Amino acid sequence: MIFNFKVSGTEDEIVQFERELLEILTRITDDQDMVAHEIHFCIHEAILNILQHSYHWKKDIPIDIKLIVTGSAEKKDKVLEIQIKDNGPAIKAPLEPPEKIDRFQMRKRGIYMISKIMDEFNIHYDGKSGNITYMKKKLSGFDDQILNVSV
Amino acid sequence: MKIKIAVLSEALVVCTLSGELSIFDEDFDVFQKEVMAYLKLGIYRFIVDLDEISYIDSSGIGVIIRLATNAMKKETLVCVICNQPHVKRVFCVANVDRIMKFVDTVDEGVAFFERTTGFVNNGK
Repeated sequence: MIFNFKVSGTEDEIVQFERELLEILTRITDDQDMVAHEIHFCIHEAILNILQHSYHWKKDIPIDIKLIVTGSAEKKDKVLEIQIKDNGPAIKAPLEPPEKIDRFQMRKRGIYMISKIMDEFNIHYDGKSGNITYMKKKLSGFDDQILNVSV
Repeated sequence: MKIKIAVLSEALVVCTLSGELSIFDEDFDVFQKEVMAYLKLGIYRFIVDLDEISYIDSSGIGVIIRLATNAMKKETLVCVICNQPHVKRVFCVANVDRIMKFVDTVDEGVAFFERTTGFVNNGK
């Protein structure tokens, strides 16, 4: 199952997209509300990161978002992959989120949180015309997962 | 986002928010500026009621961290009312849950500041 979206950087369009996104994520996660909200948060933060650091708040450049769902809940191998493509300048090196974060630190908190919620997360140059924010989350076997948060 | 702000005895600010505490919300800047104005006045006791908030992002957390940083300088904490599990979870993942005091009601927050900072609510 694949979902494709294209949004600009305008507040209205992002808010509209995020409302639709939460409904889709609730369905994809089989009504696991908490997981849907967490993934929603990560996508929001990834878009915010692009607008802030790649687009420098220019609101007329599109962002392409792709959700790819594979496997099934019954087989306990359901996985969600998210690819967010921006058209900003190529990042010089793949971004590494911080492993720890100070309690009062403001910067990088969003990407730190994404790295704690998602199973895989990286941002890299796509080799052609922009950057890809890649995230992956297993959607089965939540009971076994323990959130690893470091101070 | 709807913002309601009350100042108790010119020394404690109660912010009651509803909707989405997100940078994409048109009222986010208003909230941020209001908070900054009270900080500039030297007020460091804050109770932030997020019970009616459906969503918070890292920018929203940033405002709470600013309040917590300021409170810490006065050796106290920012009080937060938040009984929504998914919002509370965001604070936990952000690793900021330990720099704030979770309370259930505004009265509990007021009592915390009375007990720990000598705040006196004179009803003004």
